[in-house]
Amino acid sequence: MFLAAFAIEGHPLNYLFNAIVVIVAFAVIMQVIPFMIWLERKMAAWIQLRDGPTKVGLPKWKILGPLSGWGMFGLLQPLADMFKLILKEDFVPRRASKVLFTLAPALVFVPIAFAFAVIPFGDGFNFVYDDAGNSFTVRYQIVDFGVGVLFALAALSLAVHGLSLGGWASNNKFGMFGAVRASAQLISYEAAMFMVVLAMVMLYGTLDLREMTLRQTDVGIGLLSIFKWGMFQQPVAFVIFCICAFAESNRLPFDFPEAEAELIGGYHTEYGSMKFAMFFLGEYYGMVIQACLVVTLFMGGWTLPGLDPTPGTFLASLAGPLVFCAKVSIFLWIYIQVRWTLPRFRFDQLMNLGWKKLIPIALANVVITALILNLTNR
Amino acid sequence: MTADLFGIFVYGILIFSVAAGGLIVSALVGKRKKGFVKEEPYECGVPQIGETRTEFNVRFFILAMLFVLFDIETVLLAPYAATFIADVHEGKGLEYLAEVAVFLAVLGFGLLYAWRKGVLDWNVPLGHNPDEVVSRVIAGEADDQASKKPVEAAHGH
Repeated sequence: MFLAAFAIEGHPLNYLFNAIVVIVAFAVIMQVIPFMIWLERKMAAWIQLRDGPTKVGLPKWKILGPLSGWGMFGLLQPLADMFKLILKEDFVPRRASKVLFTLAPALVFVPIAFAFAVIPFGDGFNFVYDDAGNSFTVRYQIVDFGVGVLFALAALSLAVHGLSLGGWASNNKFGMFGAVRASAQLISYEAAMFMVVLAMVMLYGTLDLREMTLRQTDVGIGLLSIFKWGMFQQPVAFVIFCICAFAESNRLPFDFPEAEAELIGGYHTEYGSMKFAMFFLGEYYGMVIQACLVVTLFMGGWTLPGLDPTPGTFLASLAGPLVFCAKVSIFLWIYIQVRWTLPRFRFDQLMNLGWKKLIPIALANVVITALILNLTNR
Repeated sequence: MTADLFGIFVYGILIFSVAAGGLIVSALVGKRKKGFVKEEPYECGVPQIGETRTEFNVRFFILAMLFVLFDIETVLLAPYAATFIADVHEGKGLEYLAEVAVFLAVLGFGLLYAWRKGVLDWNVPLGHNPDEVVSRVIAGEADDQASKKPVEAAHGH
């Protein structure tokens, strides 16, 4: 009875291709994260007139010839950091709640990672599997979910449990403060974020992220279709969403949960080894997904004016993921640039911005969007 | 199981294996040394003072309650927002907007009420009138109890 759920419907190759798409997407994200950590350190160094990591590169083997001992601009530094973290002692404080303390990093990583499942990073292709012309479609999206945007936001907001449990379970005052601050910050900016997403949903008339992307294209008007992107249709929503994305991923200028100068490390004060790494894996994964959401909602997703948004053939469909990656990397670059440009807010400034400015503006944005839609769509 | 669901199944396996793998590997590899002082919670090098899990500022709780209102409101509005364009094309846009405006107004009044009650003024202790405190600070009555609190309040004691 239960096994019936695992019965195959459709062509087996469809399953294989879907699995390959999923594995490739996951592998790309897991490669982007170490690269981002490297770029973050490198850009911090450039902004502060330092060199940053330069040493960790190729080994000094004779077989490598002139390349032996080449630093590779320190590109392998994140890999070395990862091995170091694995080999570190797995430390649990005496008074900590051991089970929750161990589970908390996974509780941050797993829900955040699941949010990626609904993000369309390309259109997909049709695969014809017999001479009669029967075909199936492989989508560049892990699951095409009708209420995608709600699922993504819900999954991202689950991460607050991991942060607050991690701080609470370690039974450390700094951890506790960090956890309380993290919860307050994440929920405040979630409220504003949900509200602006409502305005976008009104504009596109759907909750499906794939549909939303396609609504931002118009092959008929050529290059002018760039003005169909959400960021031009809803500039206020775009700005608010970007601010909330920064706050949701605990980045400067909103890094209160882990403010080093005030709280040592915030919720991860007592963490070390791979548990610590898992928190940061989750945080960087979250940044990538926030960037994906911004690109999908406001920057036309995988589409580009002048390119066919739904090509159908395999080779042409590869342009979609490339464009998507390019757009996401622009946003990730802004994340890093902002981190080393702006100082941290004060906590009351954070709360004032969230509740007294962003939420009222977002509420007004919903009403104004509704009015304008009424005027223009008679 | 359709091919679409198979994708998320594979993805779930990948995520759980990374999460579980990381935790298990770090638990197995790496030496371990116990020590009484070492296992104390870190408090800048001095022995732990007092309890960690005591009461903290009630503001955070009130904030969470406000958030629940806003969150539920958004979820309730999501289906309305998704079908709004279709309603507009049917010519019922303004009618439905008026109905939702009542809903939004109730929510906005809730936010205004909390605002006026000082829930959102984080540099003023709860229960004090923010304007009053600010005018007192400006008048130079800095030893007033209300104006001495803010640093503590923001840290959640």
